[in-house]
Amino acid sequence: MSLIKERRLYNSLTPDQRRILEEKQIEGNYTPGEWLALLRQLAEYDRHGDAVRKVVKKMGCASGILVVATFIIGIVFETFFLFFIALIIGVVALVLYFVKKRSDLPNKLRRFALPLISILREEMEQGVPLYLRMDFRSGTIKEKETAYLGPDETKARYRRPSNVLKVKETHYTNAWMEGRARLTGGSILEWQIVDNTRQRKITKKGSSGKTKFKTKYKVKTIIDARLGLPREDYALMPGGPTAHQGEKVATRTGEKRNLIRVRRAKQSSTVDPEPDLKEFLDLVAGAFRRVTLTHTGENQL
Amino acid sequence: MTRCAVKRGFFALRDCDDPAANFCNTCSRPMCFQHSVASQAGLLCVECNAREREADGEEDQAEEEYDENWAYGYRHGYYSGSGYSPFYTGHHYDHYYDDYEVRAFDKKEGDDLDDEEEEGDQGFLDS
Repeated sequence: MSLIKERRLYNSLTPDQRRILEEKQIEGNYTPGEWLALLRQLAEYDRHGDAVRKVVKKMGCASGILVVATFIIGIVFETFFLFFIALIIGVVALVLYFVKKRSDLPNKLRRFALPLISILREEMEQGVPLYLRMDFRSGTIKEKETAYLGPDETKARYRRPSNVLKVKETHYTNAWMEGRARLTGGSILEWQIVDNTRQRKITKKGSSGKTKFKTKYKVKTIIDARLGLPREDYALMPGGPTAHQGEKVATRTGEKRNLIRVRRAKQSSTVDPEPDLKEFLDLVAGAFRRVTLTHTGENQL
Repeated sequence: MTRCAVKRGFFALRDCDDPAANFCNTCSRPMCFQHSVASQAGLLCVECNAREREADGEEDQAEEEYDENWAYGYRHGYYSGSGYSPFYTGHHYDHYYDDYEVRAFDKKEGDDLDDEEEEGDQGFLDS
């Protein structure tokens, strides 16, 4: 782990990879192997960048303590040399931290998108393209804002405790991932992951009489997956397994395919939550559990 | 020609069918070069390697790699942990996958030896 190695990793990125790092968005129709080749190196750079940022953060905290300590020492011994050194280290650490943060990609790439592509590669025929659109920008940027309620509107809409002075509420919709894969046997999997975020900026009077500010988030992540299975091979099972809590299932028989739509909602209180790969696979597996093979008398061997 | 016996896929399994390059030291099944892994136990198929790693209680492979070994290891863990029974859509099922309670097609016409009776003795030579 070093800044030099991180630089080396950055230099080894192709212009396309650097563009993704800068724009934090990507859309394309490549084979899973091509996607992995494109994103693996970015993920490696990001993993290294996260480690560097952690060290820089620790360095910043340590230099903050040093600044205070050397300032006191400076007053006692009437020399501020050490104080200035600590101050310079602190400023460098701060600048480095924010520079690194700007080129950071969320861990969703490393821990969700990459393993998902790796699994889909096994599920797809070689050379078949996989459509993906991913947006790794923050879920609370202006562009993703869908509604704003000022203090007067929130006052009219919600009952609030007497010590709450003001509430501003902003809603964001972040459809950060969309994909379409043609699986072996002619099945088609389409999915979309959307984070609906509610941000509340609360101003209230504390028990000591001081005015306090707080920002609270409520994020509802909706994973919507649609699976189309060829009718000649797969038949919908009447009834099917019970849907999990927070899950909705709809089935339809099309002309060529049986369609199963599964939708799961999950709440969290952190912005841009990292989705769980297993939960996503469970959702798709849930759709596969609702069909049976048409050429079989017995369901299991 | 002997074909690789490893099954590809995740939700639905299918035959790999690439030409076999080796035999697995654990299950003795033929495996292609792509599905072979050199481990402490010798040359294993990616599936036996995943099962051995699980039995040894080894940590998951480094998350950065996400290569085929990782996918097969994850698949084995997923089937064992979630109780999902994958479909099998190939032609050479073997009992290696019985633990997963695979849901499979019936033998298709032409796979059955009985079909050959209709052809009579054509092509057979007297002993």
